[in-house]
Amino acid sequence: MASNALIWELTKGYSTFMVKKKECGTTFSTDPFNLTNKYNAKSTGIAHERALGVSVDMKVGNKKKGQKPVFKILIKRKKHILAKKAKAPFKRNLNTFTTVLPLKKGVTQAAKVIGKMKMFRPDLHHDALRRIAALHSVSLRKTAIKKPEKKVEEKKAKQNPQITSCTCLLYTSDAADERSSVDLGGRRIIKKK
Amino acid sequence: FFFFFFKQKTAYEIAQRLVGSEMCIRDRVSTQSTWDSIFTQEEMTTRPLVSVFGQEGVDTITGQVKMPKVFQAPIRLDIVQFVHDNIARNKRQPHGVYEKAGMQHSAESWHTGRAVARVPRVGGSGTRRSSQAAFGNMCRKGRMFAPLKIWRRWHRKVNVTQKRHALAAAVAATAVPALVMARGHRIMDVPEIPLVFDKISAEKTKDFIGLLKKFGAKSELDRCHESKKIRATKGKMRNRRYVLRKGPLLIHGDSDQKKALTAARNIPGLDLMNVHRMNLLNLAPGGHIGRFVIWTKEAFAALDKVFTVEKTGYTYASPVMTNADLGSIINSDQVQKILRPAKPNHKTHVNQKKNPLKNKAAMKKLNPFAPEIVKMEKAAEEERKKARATAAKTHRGLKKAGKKWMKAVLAGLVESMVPPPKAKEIYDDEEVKSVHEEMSEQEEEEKKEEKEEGKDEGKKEAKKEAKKEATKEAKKEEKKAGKEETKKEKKGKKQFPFIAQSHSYITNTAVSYTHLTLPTSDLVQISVVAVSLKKKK
Repeated sequence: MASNALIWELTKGYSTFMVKKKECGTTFSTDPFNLTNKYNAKSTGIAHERALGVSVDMKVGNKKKGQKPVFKILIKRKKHILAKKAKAPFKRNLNTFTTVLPLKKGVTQAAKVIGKMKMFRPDLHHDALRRIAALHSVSLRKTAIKKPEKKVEEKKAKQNPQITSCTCLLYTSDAADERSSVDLGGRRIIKKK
Repeated sequence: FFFFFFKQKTAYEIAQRLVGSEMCIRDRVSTQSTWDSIFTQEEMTTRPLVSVFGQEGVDTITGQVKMPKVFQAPIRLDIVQFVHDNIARNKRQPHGVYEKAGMQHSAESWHTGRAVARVPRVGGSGTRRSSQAAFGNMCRKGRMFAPLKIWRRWHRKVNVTQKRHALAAAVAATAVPALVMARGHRIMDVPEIPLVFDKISAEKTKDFIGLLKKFGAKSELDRCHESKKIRATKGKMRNRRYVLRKGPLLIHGDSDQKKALTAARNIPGLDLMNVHRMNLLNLAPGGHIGRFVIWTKEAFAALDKVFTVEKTGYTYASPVMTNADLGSIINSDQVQKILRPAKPNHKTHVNQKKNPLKNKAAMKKLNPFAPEIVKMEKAAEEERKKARATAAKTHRGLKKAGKKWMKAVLAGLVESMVPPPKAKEIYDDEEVKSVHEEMSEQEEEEKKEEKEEGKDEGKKEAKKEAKKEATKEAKKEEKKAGKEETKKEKKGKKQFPFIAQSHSYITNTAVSYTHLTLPTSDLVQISVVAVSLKKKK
């Protein structure tokens, strides 16, 4: 079967997860199993036997509480856990082995789970924790956005009336000066036969 | 020890092939040497059993099939891309431009001497077209550069073996879930890849869709369904109106063909293919390997035969590396035992040039005083910040005090004025009155805000006015004319008229304003007012 090295060689040129932007030098990855979102051999999720993915869903809770972040951990293993449950003699050869752990208790639970899974991918343990921290700060920002902010902004705007500079766009059009047709200029010379 | 028998090698060299003396049997280690295990281990696991699913659900496994050898074919993306490139050209229909287009004139060049360019021009007269340029690709209504001909070489011939290698590679790639994911298929919920059904029993499309959804293909089907858009280019008016994503590919055998057709052909994104007539354009659409393939048992089992018997004389390409798992090779005992031990405290990139402008340590090497400078700068910045903050604070405090003072003054004045019991109606301004009337009682807060703003604005203007008026009054005594003047000046402005009129009242109030030091320009005006009013005493 295709080894991880081969898979990386095949997908490093192009894949659906690759995000290239001219402004940024680095190539990014939207791979769900990628912990750093960078497109390189170390971070790539799909081209590894074992991979971890961490993501956050903002779920709308009560009106009072607002949005609630729900962390989700994806685990990609070499073999599916459920293979144990499969009845003999039929043992599955399962290649898509992703288990999804939705965590109800939020950041701390997520961090704990990742902490326990340190030996799952020891080289990316640090990246996993970083990712959780980053997602947490994002989710905090999202939960903090409330409606009354608009009123505050309006009040501020009233108190500080700013002189907006009106920029008139002046443009020169040289082409407008030219006419549609061009004069011959000189005399018309009748063709002599 | 076995390392006696061969020279030291790097991990990469080991896996490729046996070279030199190793090919000689006498130089080989015993047949059951640990070297072989690296290769045979992979051999054993590379032909696993694939579950065949029944129609009910993920749990119904009706049997198992040994994975056909195709799936061990080397996945040669380069061959696939080359073959796809060329094969895709074979469906093209010749097109060309009308050979006479732009040339149906008897245009001739006027040559030199006529003050015009030497391009051929249409002869005749009486029409706008006459004497206009013709024939050239640069001319309006002229023939294009190199008019397209139909005898262009549209089709490409590709070697049969190459085509077969590409096909095998594409089939092999469909069994690698990472590649299928990387191609963009949503297969996270699919239980197994390759996905093999024992047969297609569904006769209706909706039944088949139901089956697929049970096996985790819902998101994949949705993706295709939602992607249907009208083509953005001219193809929309050339019978290629819609564009869709490519979804699953259903590969069936001969017996399933009829049912497969009726059940599955109308599903957006889904393509059908008979295993005996497999097409690279479907297996690797766009030259991208790893399509999501759904097999029927018959088709899956027939694969071995297809590639050996049906494709007569075909043998699979041999892989460049039989064991491509670099990780396991490098970390295997055999390799690690041969390697010399790692150098202790080995430092890399020691002599690398570091940019002193970015790297503090490098800068320190060049200028030992540099970190001190940075510290001093920081400290200076902190001090500047503090100074700014305190200045701002005092300014704010003074501003507040000034406002407070003004308020007190005005309040005092208001109190001392005789008639109006309602404080609001001090404003003579019609604008403000109407505004008050318009607003409802619910918005009292906003009213108050507006009033305050009005007061603020009024204060500033009042100060200016007061200055003027004070100077006037210095010349004149209390006159009704003065009142009229102020009334005129009031128009369109929010003012406090009583400053002018009731300067006599001011003298009655006990407001001390001499000790305040407001840093704004208002101070000047207020102080002028204060001074002038004081004089009145």
